[in-house]
Amino acid sequence: MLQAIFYARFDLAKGPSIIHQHPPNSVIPSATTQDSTLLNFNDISAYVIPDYEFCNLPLSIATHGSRMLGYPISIEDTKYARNRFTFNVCFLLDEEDDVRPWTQVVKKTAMFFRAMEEESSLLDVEEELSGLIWAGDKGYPAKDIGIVYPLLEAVFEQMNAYKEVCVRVDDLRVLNLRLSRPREIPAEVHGWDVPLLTRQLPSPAQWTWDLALAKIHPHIDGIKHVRRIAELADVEIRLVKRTVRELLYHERAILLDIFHFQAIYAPTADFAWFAKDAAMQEECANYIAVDPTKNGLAIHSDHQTSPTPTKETILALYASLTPGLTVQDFLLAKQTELSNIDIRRFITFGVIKGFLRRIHKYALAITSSTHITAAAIEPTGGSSSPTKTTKPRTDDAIPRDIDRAWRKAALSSGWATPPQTEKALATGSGSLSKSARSGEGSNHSESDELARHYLNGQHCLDEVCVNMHASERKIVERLQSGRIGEVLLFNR
Amino acid sequence: MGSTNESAAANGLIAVLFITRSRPGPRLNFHYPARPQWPIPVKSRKERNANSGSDSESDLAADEALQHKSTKDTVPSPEPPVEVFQPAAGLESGSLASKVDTTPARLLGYSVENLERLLAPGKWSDRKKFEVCLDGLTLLGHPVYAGQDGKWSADGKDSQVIDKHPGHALPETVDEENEDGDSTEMDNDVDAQEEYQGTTTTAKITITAPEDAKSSHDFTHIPESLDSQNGVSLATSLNSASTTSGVIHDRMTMFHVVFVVAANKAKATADLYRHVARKLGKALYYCQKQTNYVSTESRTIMTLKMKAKIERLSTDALYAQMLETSQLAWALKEVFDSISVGRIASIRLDGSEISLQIPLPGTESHLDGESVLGAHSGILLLEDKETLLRELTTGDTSPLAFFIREHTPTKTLQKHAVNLGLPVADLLYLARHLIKWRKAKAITPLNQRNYYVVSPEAPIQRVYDLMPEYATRFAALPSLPQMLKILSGKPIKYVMLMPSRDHRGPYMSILAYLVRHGFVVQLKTFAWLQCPKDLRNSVAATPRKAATPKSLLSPHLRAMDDDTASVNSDRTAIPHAILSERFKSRSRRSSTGTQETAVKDSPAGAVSGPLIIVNPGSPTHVESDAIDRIQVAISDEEVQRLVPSILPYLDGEKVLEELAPREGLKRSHVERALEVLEREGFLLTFRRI
Repeated sequence: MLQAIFYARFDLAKGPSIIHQHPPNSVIPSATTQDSTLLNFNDISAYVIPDYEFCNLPLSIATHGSRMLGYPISIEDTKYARNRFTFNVCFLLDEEDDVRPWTQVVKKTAMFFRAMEEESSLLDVEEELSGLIWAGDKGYPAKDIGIVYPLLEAVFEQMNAYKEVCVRVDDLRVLNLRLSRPREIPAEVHGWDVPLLTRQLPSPAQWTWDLALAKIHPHIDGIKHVRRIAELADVEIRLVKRTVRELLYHERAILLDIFHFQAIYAPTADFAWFAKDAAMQEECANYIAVDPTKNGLAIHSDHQTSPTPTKETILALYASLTPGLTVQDFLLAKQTELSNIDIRRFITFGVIKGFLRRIHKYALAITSSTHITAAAIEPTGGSSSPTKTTKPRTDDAIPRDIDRAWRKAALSSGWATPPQTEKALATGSGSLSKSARSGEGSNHSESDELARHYLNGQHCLDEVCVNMHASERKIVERLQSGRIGEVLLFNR
Repeated sequence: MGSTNESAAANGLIAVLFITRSRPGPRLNFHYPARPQWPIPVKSRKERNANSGSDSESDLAADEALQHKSTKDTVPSPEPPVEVFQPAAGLESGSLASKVDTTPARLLGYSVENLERLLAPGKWSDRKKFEVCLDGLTLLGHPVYAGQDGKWSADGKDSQVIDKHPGHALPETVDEENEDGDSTEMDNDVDAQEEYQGTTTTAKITITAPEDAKSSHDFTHIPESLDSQNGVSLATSLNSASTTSGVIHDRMTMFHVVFVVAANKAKATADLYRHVARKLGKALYYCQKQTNYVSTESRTIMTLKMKAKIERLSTDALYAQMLETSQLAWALKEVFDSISVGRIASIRLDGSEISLQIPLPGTESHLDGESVLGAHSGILLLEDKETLLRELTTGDTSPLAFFIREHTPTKTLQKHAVNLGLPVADLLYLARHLIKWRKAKAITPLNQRNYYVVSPEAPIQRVYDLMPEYATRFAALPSLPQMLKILSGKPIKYVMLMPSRDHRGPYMSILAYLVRHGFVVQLKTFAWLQCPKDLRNSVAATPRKAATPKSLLSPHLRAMDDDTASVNSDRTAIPHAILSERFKSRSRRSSTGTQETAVKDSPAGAVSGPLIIVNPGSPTHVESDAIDRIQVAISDEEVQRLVPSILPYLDGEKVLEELAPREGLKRSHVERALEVLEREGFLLTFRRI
């Protein structure tokens, strides 16, 4: 809520002075009344019209419970006395108010005023007008004289009433402002994230889509992960990530995890809220319902089952999810109840609404095995097994860089890009040439080499699976094969 | 701990500046780090170029190069001394100077001179929050002014030191210098300073003429500032040129520690002010009042800077000296180093120690924000008792030491209070103190019959580091990775891990260790009461007053109506006894086991299921009917008696593990009651962290 708005200028005789303010008497008290003002202008005048170095920058100060947002403008021109015209349009807010929506409004207003002055000297001329009354003087404001006061008044009134402003100053100039909350910049998108559109995108006829979006759009379905989308759409994964991030920023999409049957989900605190929300349960029932005869995962009992599951069943099913229970085990245990439920939708509904959370599986190398190269490990303990540790390389930037470099080289030389080689490529600099020479036979050891990049407990198995093009079951088998040494798998 | 620290660390602290104002004007006395990580905007600004033509030379990275260059510049020009004394000049740009113009020292992308003025607000800001946002930077501080008469202390015992009337200025300055053991040559220097203010000011005014005119408005309320603005550097720099050891000290009228923060952290800024900036300001004010501490320290720093300038020391060498010599400089460094990474800063000011921190959000395990520390909470010490006791300055006999010595994480504070014979309120106070200073965290008391699982924020990267320590502490017990593996599988009661009763002690120590390091969290149990279908059918079959029109609105009622219809049409209820019989055969491994069977046994579950009472506090008619039915149907009398005290907890939001201590019941009784309820199908439970 805007408390006041004022226009101040550096006056050669008086120094920084407020010429216009709205509401009248808000900052400079009028000569006649003794109303209390929002703040003492003399205190902060140095911050309204600061040193030139701080001009043409956003500058605000919080004091006396108010926050003054300003954007001092200093225009240099020989036509002015002392070659400068310095002014500021300041917005007064409560100190506790969130300033982020206002910063752009303040800046745009300042730029608008600057343009008025630079193009037509409207501000400079205004002070020459006869009958202009300064803030604080008797009779202020003189409503019919000048353009600044009506402008400030309109901004103040419209902003507080509509959070939007549209004021026409003359034939050429219209000031349009809108208070909008800046969106959070979404975190980086990973290759194993699954984007799901939550709102329709404007059709390409209305909006020009960028090429990457146009190519990947058909593949965004809440099932395919980013890397898969990149492969299917034949778009570089970097571009896919960027596009998805853009969709996240505009709140058109959310990220899910990869649904598979080794995944583990558990309820969150929001589950209590879900249990109390009958409408949400209704929505859930409709979303997850599936014709039992078409549900390949369910056993078909001869019992008649209704098309939609009841709320109580749904709650009981969700409540029975627990850390350590994979979807597969859950499915086996609850086949009957799940016969008319689409298990993927059942899980994703919970994830989307936030009352389920995915518990990821991580791998941590505990002991070294003989064939790990010295570079990859640093044994820190003695020979007794619990203290003999390895520290796998955490640097997964290397494979990515090499991947990129290789692709670039491949493209420029006109090679085909065999999809098969990707995992070999990502194994690191040493194995690049090796993988090129040795054929299929060394595939396993290369994968294990790659796997060691992910064994520091920082990479969830989804990531490993996506990057190695293998199912979690296969990865787990490989990790537990003993070739990589002792690997701890844990869920968190 | 690791993760909580990281979240707190995101406060965007960029630098700490120390500004003092004395008669000649405000001055940047010290700042840390020497080269704040704040990118100078690439776009050069028109206005800046207008002020000083040599914008490009201000690049901080070029600092060292300039330093080298300046050492070769052996011919002293008339101007360098002018620049020499500018406080940060020696740090940022060496004494590189053109013949006619000086390169103003720059910090954070702005000229130090302008920053000094910006950060020295008028007296209106005395001991108030000062916050200026400047193009992506928030400058936050708590300025402190001397009293109206320029005195710092109320009793006036050091009035001769801080009298600020110009007429009295000279002799008293000298006195003070003598007092502090500084050179007695100061007399002459000060004289020189006075003389030079008049003459050199005009020389500079040509460079920044418009600015001077304007900035004169900045400090109209400070009588001296008008004439002294331009003299600040000139007068004293002359002094530095004339003597190698001289120090000019003016009576400090204000000091201001400014925290420079990236501006997009509004919440962090408020916390930073409340918990750090204001407290530091108050502490310094106290020290200044008592012993003139701040002015003495600022003088020490200025002396070093001046010497460094003359000896052409590198910035790093100067900083090393300042941090070594000045306690205040060291304190500011410590504040920056600790606060910027979210740690507690312990500093020593004038002999007394103070600690500053931005409290962790909620000062609680951030996964359960709802559990506030109460008599029924326990606390877990985050450091070893021995370490804590050693750190205690209060001595071994204080209640805090007593509490720490006797503390165990398995008991509630209430129990501790009884055992120690102290009031609960006192223990709560002690516990809050420990939590505030990150020596403990609030937990539900550890219990072997609780469930624990690996935390989503477990600091796995620390496993390797902690393994040796863990191995020595808990030799011959399962290794750290083994414990993590077990606790990340299907949840089981912790007691199930213990091979025998004798292992209880060590295993509970392991648990405390794991919780302390954030590896595991408690998996808490929540539940709702549910009325199984058959019991509801019997409700429906015996026509009670039944549904009032009002309760028709309830969605549950509709379900019940359906229910009745279906039962009447084609099915008979499964006798309750049979159900219970089956349940008894099942182990209570999974809480939902019973639930699952209940549904399985009634294939009509899709049409009519159990009624789940989500709001036991305000049940609908149907629900209270169901509750009555359940109470009657419970086979065990003892359990029946407990139901009224258990019922309020069955809302899906209250932790069942906390029920017993809160209600003053025996845990085993409550557990048995819940077990019976669950076995008989009256409970829908779920577990979450």
